[in-house]
Amino acid sequence: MIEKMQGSRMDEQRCSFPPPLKTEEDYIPYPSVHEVLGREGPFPLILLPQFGGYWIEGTNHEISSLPETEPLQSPTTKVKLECNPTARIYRKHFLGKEHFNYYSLDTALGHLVFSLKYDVIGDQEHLRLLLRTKCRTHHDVIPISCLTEFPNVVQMAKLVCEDVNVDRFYPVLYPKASRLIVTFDEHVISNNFKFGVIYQKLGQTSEEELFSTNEESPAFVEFLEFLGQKVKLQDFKGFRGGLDVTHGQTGTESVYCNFRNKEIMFHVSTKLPYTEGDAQQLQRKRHIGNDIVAVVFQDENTPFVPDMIASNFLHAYVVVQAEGGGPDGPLYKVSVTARDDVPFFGPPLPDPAVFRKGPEFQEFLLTKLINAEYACYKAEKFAKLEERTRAALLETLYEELHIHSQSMMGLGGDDDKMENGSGGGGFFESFKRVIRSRSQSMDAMGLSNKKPNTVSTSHSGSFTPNNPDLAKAAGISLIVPGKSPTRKKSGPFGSRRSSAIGIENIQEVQEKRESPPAGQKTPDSGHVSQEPKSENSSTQSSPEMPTTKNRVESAAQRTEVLQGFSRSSSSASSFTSVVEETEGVDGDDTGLESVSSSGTPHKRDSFLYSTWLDDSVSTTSGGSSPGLTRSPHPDVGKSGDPACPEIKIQLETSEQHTPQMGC
Amino acid sequence: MEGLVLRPAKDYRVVVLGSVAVGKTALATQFACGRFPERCEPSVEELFSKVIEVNRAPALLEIVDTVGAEHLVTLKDLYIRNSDGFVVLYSVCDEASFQAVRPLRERMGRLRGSRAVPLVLVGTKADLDAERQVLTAQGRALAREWRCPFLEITTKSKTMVDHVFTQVVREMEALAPPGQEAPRIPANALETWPAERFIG
Repeated sequence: MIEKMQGSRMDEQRCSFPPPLKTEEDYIPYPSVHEVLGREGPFPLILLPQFGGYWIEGTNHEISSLPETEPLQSPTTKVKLECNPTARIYRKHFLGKEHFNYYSLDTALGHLVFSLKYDVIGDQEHLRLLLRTKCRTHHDVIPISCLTEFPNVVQMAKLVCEDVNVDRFYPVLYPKASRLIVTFDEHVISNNFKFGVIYQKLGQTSEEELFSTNEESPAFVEFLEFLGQKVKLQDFKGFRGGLDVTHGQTGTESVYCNFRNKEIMFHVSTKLPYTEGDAQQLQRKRHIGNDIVAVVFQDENTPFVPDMIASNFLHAYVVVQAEGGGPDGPLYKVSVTARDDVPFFGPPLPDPAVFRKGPEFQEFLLTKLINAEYACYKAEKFAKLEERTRAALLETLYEELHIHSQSMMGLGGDDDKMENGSGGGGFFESFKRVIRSRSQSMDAMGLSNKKPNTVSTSHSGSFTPNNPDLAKAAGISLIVPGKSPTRKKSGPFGSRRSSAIGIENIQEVQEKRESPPAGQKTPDSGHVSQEPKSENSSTQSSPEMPTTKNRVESAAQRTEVLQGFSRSSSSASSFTSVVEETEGVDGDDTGLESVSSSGTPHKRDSFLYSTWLDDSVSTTSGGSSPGLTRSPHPDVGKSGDPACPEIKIQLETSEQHTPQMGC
Repeated sequence: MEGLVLRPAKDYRVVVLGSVAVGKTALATQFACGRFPERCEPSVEELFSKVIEVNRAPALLEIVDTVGAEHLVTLKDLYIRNSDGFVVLYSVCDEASFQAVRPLRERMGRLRGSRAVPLVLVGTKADLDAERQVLTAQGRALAREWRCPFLEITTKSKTMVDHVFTQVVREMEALAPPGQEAPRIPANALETWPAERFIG
């Protein structure tokens, strides 16, 4: 008995002064909340669960330690929202500007989508390279002066990711490809958030008690008004966070806030419907329990334990305890807790962690909540989902780019030429042929991928296909276009345009220039000059180029590529007028991306230079996180569908077989 | 045993969809583990696996227990596009969860395009009749409109839960494209089929 008491005393000491970021797991269980409540106060705002699993930030709330003349929070403190700079690179530097997109399939890395751009930053020439693999996106800006020789596309990819091991990349020929690519890159960005708000009264220790509270104290009401604005849910037009805005099934009102262009809907425990006789109060728990981050508000000094609420979703809590502040307004003590696998997130709590009610604290609190959600997405459960999502989306993007590029090339044949003359029928016939070929290869892939399933009874939900099988299937599909009756030297159509031009094709252009022009000159469309037409012709035939031809010419490739690059520069200059026209468009995809010039006036150069510096700094500080698992605009991803409903392809995915823990 | 012939199992991915707290995890857990979780514990996506026998043939089900909340919409869309069958749940005690299944079905149709949508409509918590908000007739009428099987169940009953998945397998088989059957059965499946066959 005495030993037990001594043990309790030691535990109490440990609990009274835990370190600011306590992450160690201790074999001795922490005292239960009931044990702690049995002692004299004051109590910490947060207690660890008996078997740990969480860290705590902000454990000093001694108001008396504040110097009287010092403000509660330093005005120079900068509260900063986390960001994902990698997700925005394509939109900032590539979209609407002249650049090239490629795709390929690596046996180890899987699907690859590669964007590259010639960039002038300051007065120095650079290559901006953006390579997407199933695990992450690689980005680099490389001064051309650092290169001993001008690299080909595969060599460029190796510059940003040494593990790339493919023979070649295929050019993306689809005019709307940039829209698909930017949608993929930005699928991790979200501007909508929902946070739970839980009201904890003195002595409450279970979720049943927390969710059964209906009355709101004046201090809690004041806090809610401070947090955001009260809104009627009926016909609410902003982000509703899963609440019912039509039938009133989730209560009549809630608390909502728009903070730095981010919409926040709060799930307030006392404003969600109360159900008599329901111990779990499912109508409340269903929403708060599905939030990732929650605020716990306490009127008085009572401890909150993060495992009070059983949820696999809730990963972080910000606990706010009211302290009567007197004439200057209330003071709030703040502690933060999160699961062990959630990385630390800012802004850091001051020491002591006490705030005066006001706009500074509101900004701090909302920033802390948003950064908490970003951080929670890096926890194991959510990170795995993001990996799965990213790999599946990248495969879908690869397939879309491949199908569209094949379709573009399929229009070159004699039969297509005749059909196209008669109207749209020929065009769609060509699409159908490509789709049929694609379906066959998909079936082949499905067949080979299904085989392992009979061996194992475990499945992961991953969409990542078995790479060797997919490589085989991809090979099959790549052979198919060669069977179509296509003449390499057929005349180009004026209306066709490529969104990307491979460097291999520049060599082809050289050859065409040496030969006399063939056939009649087709009518020139308003925005297409001679050179793009030539490029289209050469692009059509490049997949059918025999491998031996490539090998034989490799010795001369360097000189050819360099000359080609020089031509590209002059092409850029000649499109200055087009650039001016493009700038007048309201961000719509005009299909002129491939002819936009990378040359800019000196003034713009300065802007670009400073932008690059900002990118560099933020990238360094942010690291290369996998990003967030939210899709802000599901419809955006589907906006391409109405344009070409005929070419929806059924994607059969194979399962990765990993042993699954028994239930 | 003399009459039984070992046949290769067809494998299907079945996705459980529905609003928050309608019992998706309870359904999947009861089916795969024979256990009913008493407490509502909102789930991040989970995967289950189980072999059942339907029409004297084994079927290997991979069950995806999705996130009911409005997170992770992208991944849910991918599952809708790429899976074989679906169980769409609502709670008979929650009118809002019933209202949510119609737009969900519409989105499934859009995402799958011309491909069939094999699904079973399931009303859960049928044992809590005192709290009922959705009439059986409403669920049945909606299923008739969608031309799909309809069941009202309690996930506390393993028999009822098993019946749900038997029905979804039948739907997947009934709606399978004619040419799709052959490629899905590997030629050497008999050799790789495990010696012991586990029928739940």
